[in-house]
Amino acid sequence: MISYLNKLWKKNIWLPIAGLVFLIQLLVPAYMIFEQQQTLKYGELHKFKIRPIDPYDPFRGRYVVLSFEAVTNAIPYSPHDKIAAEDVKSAPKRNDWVYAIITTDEKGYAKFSELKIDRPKSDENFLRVQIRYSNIHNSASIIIPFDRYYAPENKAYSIEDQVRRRSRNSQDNVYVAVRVRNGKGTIEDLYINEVPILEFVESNQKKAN
Amino acid sequence: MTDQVEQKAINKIDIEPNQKTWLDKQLKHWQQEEIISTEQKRQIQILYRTKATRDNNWATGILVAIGALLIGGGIIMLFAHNWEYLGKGVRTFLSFLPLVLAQALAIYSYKKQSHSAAWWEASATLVFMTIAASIALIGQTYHIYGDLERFVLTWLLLGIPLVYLLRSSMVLILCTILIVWLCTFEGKLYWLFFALLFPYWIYAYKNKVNAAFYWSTWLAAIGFAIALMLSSLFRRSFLDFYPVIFLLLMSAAYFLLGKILFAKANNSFWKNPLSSLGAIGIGLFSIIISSEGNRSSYYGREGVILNWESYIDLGLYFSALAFIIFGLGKYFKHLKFHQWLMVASGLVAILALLDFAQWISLLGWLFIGMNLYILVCSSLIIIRAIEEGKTLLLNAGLIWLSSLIALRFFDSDVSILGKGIVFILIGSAFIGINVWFNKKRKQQLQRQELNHD
Repeated sequence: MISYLNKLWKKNIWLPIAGLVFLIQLLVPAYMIFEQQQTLKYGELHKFKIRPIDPYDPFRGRYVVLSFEAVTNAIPYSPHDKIAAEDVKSAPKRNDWVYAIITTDEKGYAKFSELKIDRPKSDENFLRVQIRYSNIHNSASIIIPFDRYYAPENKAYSIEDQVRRRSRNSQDNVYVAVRVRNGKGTIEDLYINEVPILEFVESNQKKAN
Repeated sequence: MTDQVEQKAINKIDIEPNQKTWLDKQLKHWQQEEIISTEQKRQIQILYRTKATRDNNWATGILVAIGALLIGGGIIMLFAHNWEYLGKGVRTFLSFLPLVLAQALAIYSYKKQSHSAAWWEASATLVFMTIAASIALIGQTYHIYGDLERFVLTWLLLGIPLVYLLRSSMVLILCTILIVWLCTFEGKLYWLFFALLFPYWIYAYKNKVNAAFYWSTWLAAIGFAIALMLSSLFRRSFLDFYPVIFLLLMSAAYFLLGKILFAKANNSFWKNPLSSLGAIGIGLFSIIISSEGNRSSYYGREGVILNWESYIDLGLYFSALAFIIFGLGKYFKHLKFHQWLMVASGLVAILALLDFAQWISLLGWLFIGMNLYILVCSSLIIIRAIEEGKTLLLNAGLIWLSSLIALRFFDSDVSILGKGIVFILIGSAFIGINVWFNKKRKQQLQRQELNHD
């Protein structure tokens, strides 16, 4: 083993291996970008109504945590999965992955109609989500993966403030536009009354001045 | 004559740089005083060689690495500021820039600074930190989920090769921290990542690369224990069912492994991380067992989940136990008796197995045995320490023994009758050991006197 390691630092071995490792280190973030771009480009648009709070993430700066109206209540399992979900051993547990089927309510906002244990066919609109906790009555509370909106440091607070006030006021519509593709969702933007949040906050700041 | 000198030159004597400076000065002086000729001066100079100052080199290395760590952290924070006015394209470019620069620096270090630990450590640390910066900035630009587990896991996987490519102790330490983080907050089998670091640890051990080796061993050994135990809570495995017993087993295994691997470490506390940590663990966990008897898991036996993750835990349990049994047999003569006894504490794990299999449960009685064990073992340590004049060992033994006595006195769990019996046992054993020890000493002294006569 040691002799292998000593060989690693020889020039004709080190350079190709280092090159490969460095390439992978670049390709992984590149793929993450590619995946997001693909979702934004080809994904189906859904509007999710929200209510937010604002913690601080040391790694990624200020962001607004979004809490979704669509997951306020537990979501039932699909009739097909009911038997499986009732069985204690096969029932999804906390942090297990399931598929949430997206439909639209009468006002045009997205909601989750049911959960499926197996991956749905590709013509359905669905998100791959983790279970927060399972209920006894064949339903489960889920964790939405796109739960943070990254905001400039000096604007996160006012965004949160606006969203909190506006989302309580039934006349204002606060929602995130999410592109969904192959079970993955990417936030396109956060809107108050059809105006992107940054524009909205900036125009409000100007008015205040 | 010249041939002989050349021959000697192969077996050069290593001297410190300041000694070399002094020697050169003196030689010059002697030559001026005409004590030696120019040829003789040259011949003397050939005999000596300045010692390569690896440690100094490394000390600079770790300082530079810390600098690199700070710079890397700074880059992450700059990105965290979130520059909304930069477009997506610019931000994408920015998220790759530091990583590419750090990688270029690593290649430069390899090609042009192949003997500088400082360059290697610094560039490895920078690459490691810029990986995080890069992923974090992309996550921020695209509002990618706040899934910290995936973030840390990606960071760790992309970073581990740096330990090998650039022989970086700093990255080894950082990876240890990430693994412990994953096990603390996510559970699962993330402790297995230590296996990926192990070959490098062996290499560093064989080559004693630098003082960072001891640092990283201390951290990795503690990290491994924490990672394993905390993650076992998540999967409710067998280890979680008998946590203290397993920790005692693991401490004993650490202790034995340290005694085998670092046999030449001159019993230095700092330079034998495994044994020192094992000894602390044996002291601590034996005291806990001696106090509480057997407190079973919150979930009860039915709560133990047996899946493949648990089987890996079990495998670890059995290997540690097998290692201890093997060590007790093989190293009986190499270890001092109190050291051998300390390793033997790991045998408690057999009781846990018997209990779990529901063959025979002696765990209810274990606390009595453990009290006697600590009493005997700590007394032996104290005696040994006095004989060898070792202050640290003596104090360790005294602390162990006195905390046992103090705890028994204030124990409210044991009935007064039980307490009485335990105290009588402790007292008699104490007197017994002392009488025995004095007799032995007297015999020894008499023998010595006879020899002198």
